[in-house]
This record gives sequence, structure tokens and C-alpha cells, in this order.
Amino acid sequence: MRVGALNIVLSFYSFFLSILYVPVFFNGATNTRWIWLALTTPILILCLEKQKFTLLHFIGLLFLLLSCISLNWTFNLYDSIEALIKLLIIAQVFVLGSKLKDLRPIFIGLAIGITISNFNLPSGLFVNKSMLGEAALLTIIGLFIYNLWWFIVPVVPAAILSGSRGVVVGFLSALVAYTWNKNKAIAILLIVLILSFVSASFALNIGVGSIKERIDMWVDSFKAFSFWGNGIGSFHAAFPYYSDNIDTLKYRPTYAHNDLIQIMFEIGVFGLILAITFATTLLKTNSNEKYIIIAFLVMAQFSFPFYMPVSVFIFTLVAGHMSRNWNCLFSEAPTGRVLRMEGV
Amino acid sequence: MKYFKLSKEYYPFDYHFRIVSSIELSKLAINNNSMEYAIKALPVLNNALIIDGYSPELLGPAVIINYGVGNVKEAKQYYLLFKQTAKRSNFLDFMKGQLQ
Repeated sequence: MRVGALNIVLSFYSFFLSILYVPVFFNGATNTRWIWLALTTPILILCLEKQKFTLLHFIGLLFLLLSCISLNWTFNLYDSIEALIKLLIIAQVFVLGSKLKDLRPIFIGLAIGITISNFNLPSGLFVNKSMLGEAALLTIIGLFIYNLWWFIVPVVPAAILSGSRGVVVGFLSALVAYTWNKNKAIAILLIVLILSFVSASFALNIGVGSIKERIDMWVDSFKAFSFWGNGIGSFHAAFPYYSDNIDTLKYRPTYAHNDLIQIMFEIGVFGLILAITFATTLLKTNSNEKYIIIAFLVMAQFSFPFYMPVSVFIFTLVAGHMSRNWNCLFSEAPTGRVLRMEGV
Repeated sequence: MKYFKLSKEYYPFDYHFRIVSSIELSKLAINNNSMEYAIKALPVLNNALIIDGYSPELLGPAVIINYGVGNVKEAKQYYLLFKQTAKRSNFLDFMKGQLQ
């Protein structure tokens, strides 16, 4: 396969991911996307050359191993197996990202797909407006990094009109990080402006709905923390047992709306350490892709992008791509593939 | 009901698919005040509670149906679990009155 052909395949791969929605299917906006990733990613991985095994691969593998072990003490085995399957899909996307030399076609495909969602805002083909907003923001940052200016314009309405506060905070964090590298004085001024804006919105009680519920949820989740965690994917099953502040008969959360808290809840101290190590290792690099990682990590403090197929796809693909900057942990792997993609 | 059971059998990884048959049967039994449906719903509910033992959505009907059928001991056990998992629910006060 030639480079041009591969780029077209990758664009279609990400394009279909961003438009897949089957209304008659249960959870038609998320399950169909997980299925698409599960079916197509292994084929792409097999078609590309083998890559080196880096420190990031090792941390990811440990996280996967710990998640598997946590099946032994989980609250609900069925939920845990489902979460583990999704984690394996995410791991595949990471491996694919580490094999790709250029992510431009991926972001072009995503931009075209998200543009289609503009016809039915605020949620479009993502059903959930936060899910659309998060995917749109990460795509915009990716397009910005790769200088694909013309594709940014049609994606912007999806990010703005989704009305997600997490998206705004994620964008501002990436902007501050970018400005910090260029001019620290302007970055500090920006931080002061953002903090005053946040304080004003709290004082005037504008846009602060559901914050109390989230804090209640986090407080209840803290009570459930244990050294080994409650098992991967157990948040939904175990939360009512520990909850004191939320009427679980009216509202039973599936996600903690803070991915670090959820990882601590499910996989325990080691899971949290591995997740933080993974993130900090990624942020050490000087590549521009780190702004996507920053935006994702900030949004993950108020929402659950790690559990949504498109946003976690962008994050892990970029993380995998960034792992190319790291040295191989072991000796170089021999390449023995039948299909080679020279120059890709 | 057959389709609800099939959904549970073929895709047990989704919570809603797992509990839908027991919830619908319980609703039938409670809303119609029917002993016949209550007896049918009981094994389905108990089976669902083996996997989702901390679901207040299942524990609530489990208390009512067990109490209705005459399994007072089981009803009280499920009530204690319900109390643990739905501490803030108004439904708790209602059931407390019924059990007393």
C-alpha cells in the first residue's frame, strides 16, 4: 500500500468513527463506535511496520495487567469484563498511534465527520453534547498543530455551541500552556483573567449548575477508595453502596465525572500512580501534540472523556504517536511483516 | 418477556439488558397487585440480584415482592441492603412504614 492510499484509509477510518451513530442500537452513539474501533484497528496495526517498545508502552501494559488482576475482587464481573474489553481497544489504538508517522489524515477525517454534526447541534451525531464538544476541541487543537487551517473553521461551531464548560476549561488550559512557552507574562495575565472570570461566575451564580452534584459524587467516591480499588468497571455497581449524598434511586452515576477519581475508585493506588506517571511522561516531551494531552487531562477532571470512544481515541492515538520520541526499552524488534509501508 | 430474557442471555455485559426482565415483571406484579406475577417475578429478581446485588432499582421491588409473597425474612434482608444503597431515597420511609 502506498502512502497516499494509507492516508485515504486513515481519513476514512477516523471519518466513520466520528459519524457512526445507529439510533436503533442500544447506546447507538458509543457502542457502535467501540465496535468500529475493535473491528478496524487490528487490521491497520497488522498492515503497518512493527515499532519499538517504549516506556509508555510498558506503563500502559502494567495498567492493563493491573486491570486484569482487579477482576478477582470486582463488584460486578460482567461490568468489569466490558470495561476491560474497552481498555483493550484503547490499547490497540495506542499501538496504532505509535506506528503512524503522520496524524494529519486522522484529523482531516475527524474534522469532516464533526462538521456533519453541525447540522444538528448541540449534540449532533454524538447524542451527548459534551461528547461532541470534547471531540471537537481535541480535533481543533490537532488541526492547529498540523496547520490545517481550513478544516478548523467548520469544526469551531461544534465546540462552541455544545455549551460544555469542560470544553471551555480545556481550551483555556491548552491556550495558557501554549502562551506560557511563548511569553510567560501574557500567560500569567491570562491565568489572572480566567480566575477572575471563574470567581465572577461563582459569585453571580451563572453557569454553576450541577457543580454541587459533582462535588457530592466525588465526596462519596472518596469514601470508597481502597488500596487495591473495587475492580475495573465497578463504579456503576459499587457506587450506591458507598453513596451518602446522592439519591441513587433517582440518579445512579455510571461515571465519576473525574477520570482520576474513577481510576482510583476502580483500580486503586497503583492504577492512579500508573495513570499519573503515564500523563507526566507524555508532558515531558517538547512536541506540540502535548497541547492535545493537556486539554484532554483538564477536561478529564470535570467530565469522563477517558470513557467516551472519540475523545479517548484522539488521546491514545496522539499518546502513541508521541511515544515515537522515546527510546526503545529493549533491543530493537525485528521487522518481519509481509505488508510493509515504506516511507509511512 | 421472552425477548427481555434473550437480551440478558445474549448481551449480559450491559446493566440495562441484565435487569430489564426482572424490573418489568416486578412492575407487572406490583402495579396489578397480582400474586401470580409476584410468584413468577421472584426467581427472576433473585437471579438478577446475584449479579447486581447492590442495585437499589432491584432491591426496592425485591423487598415489596418478597413481603407480598410471605418471605418476610428475605424481605427484611433486602430491606437492609436497600437501606445501605439508597440512603437518601424518599422511598425508604415509605417502605419502612409498610414493613412495620
